[in-house]
Amino acid sequence: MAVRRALAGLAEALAGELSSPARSESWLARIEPRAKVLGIVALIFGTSLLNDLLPLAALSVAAVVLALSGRTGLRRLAKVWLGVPLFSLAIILPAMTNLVTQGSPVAVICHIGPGAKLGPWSIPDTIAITSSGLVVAGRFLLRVFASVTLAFVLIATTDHSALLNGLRRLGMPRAFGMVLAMTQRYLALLLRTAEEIHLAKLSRTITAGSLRNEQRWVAAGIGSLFRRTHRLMQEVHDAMLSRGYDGDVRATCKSRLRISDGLWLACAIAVTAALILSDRLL
Amino acid sequence: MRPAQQNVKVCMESRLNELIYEVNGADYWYPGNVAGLRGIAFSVRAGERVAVLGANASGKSTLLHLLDGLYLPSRGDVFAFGTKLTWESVETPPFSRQFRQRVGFLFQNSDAQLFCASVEDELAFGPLQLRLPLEEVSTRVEDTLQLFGIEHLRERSPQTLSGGEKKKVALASVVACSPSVILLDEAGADLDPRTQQWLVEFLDLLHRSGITLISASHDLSFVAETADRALILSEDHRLVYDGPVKDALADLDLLLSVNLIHAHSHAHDGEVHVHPHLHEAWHNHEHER
Repeated sequence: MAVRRALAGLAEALAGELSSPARSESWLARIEPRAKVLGIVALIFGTSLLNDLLPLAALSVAAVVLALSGRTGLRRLAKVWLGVPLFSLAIILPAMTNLVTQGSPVAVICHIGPGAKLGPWSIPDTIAITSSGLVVAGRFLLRVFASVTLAFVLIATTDHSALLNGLRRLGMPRAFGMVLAMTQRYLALLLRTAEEIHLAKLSRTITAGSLRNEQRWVAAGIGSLFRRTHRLMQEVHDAMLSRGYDGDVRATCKSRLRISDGLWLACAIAVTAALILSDRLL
Repeated sequence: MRPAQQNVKVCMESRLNELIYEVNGADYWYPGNVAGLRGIAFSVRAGERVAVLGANASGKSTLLHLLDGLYLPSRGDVFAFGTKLTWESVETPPFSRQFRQRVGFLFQNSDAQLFCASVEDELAFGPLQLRLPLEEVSTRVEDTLQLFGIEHLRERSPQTLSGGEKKKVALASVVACSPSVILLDEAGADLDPRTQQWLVEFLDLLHRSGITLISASHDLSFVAETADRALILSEDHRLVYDGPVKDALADLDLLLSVNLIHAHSHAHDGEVHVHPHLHEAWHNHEHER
């Protein structure tokens, strides 16, 4: 039941996130995808160059303001933010302690005693969170928070096909763009197929089998899914060939850069430059 | 005829009676020596409505793949528009481009046929691949959307459409290339009655516009309405009939032998009868007492 719920949930989430054609009706949604990509990339690039916590915090606030003014939805934004501390803290936790970052202790975690070693490394008598470690963790968290928010703003306010089209026009190889677009679209179909295989098994199951039998079934299911995916891949390729595909995907270029797009790009670059400058001066 | 239907008129360029296909003793073997087709020979002229009939796995789809140059015969030849189909000819311009423009293929699985991000992109894919000017592509997309009455689906992702809508968009994506020949693989399968009726009427419109239609099916009622000539494949992948659809549908022994109908026994007035039986709308219920 848990597998079925997980597959159904994943398929539903994917269908909702990937298949919705219009993302939002905000001013950000109207920015030409190429200009938006360049502006967001400039801001994300800025986060990696900022060291001081204050400019990083300012950039994070700017990212939040962008997300809110772009009507991306607070609930969706909260879901994205929820993942930031969960994964980032797990990565940065060792760097907060005097095991990695030396500095004055702020909070003691445990006493180990003198002479402790881990392989060739000496371990301090007392493992503690240090003030320098907190700064390192704060910098890392703010960078991740700002980058994730900015990336989310880009995805949530741009139609996926327009975004891929914009990336293609910025020089991304067309074949790569086509593969990305098709992967995105067929993921939902793949999950539906996986769910159908699971349901077909469930409908013929009276009592739960042994662990070995379940493992055997999972392996067979993966094999079946692979065969179906392979067949679908061949069918899609045939369908493309039949309509004239010769290895080079052509696309219409619908959007043009306007003054407002130029203004957005100039603002994004100016904000990034100002923050980097203040970071160097602070 | 609405302005949008001018799109269909392009196919009128194909002159009636022009030899479109000539298949000479074609065999097709799948990997592992699995037979797909054996010794198939027939020809198709422009403007014909041909139905390829046969039971499951008799080779109907394989034959359509051969006619579209997606498979090449293991033995024998397939000529299209007077040119022998080889890997070189189907992959080298200018023939490859002309061939792809002239022959459209409606696949059985719409999920495989619809791979673009939106319906609009789907309709533009073929014309763009054929290197048509952007203005021409845009005109064709608009005309085709209007012709099929699917303007409201323009921005939708094909993956989110219903089965009937997917079939419509798939056919629209084929028609957008203005082909003179359309190959249809089980086009009427899995459609509700209203969509199937729309499809029958639309195929009739295409035929009257001069398009050659070759459809594979085992649905006899669909075939009766959409074809004049039948090619019947046996379960051992051989062509066992080539002639008028009416005659084929009247030959119950033939249909029984190729597993398109089955023997059916039931009781009337206490007496048990056995007779060939069709589950389709075309239903001959004369009892052999």
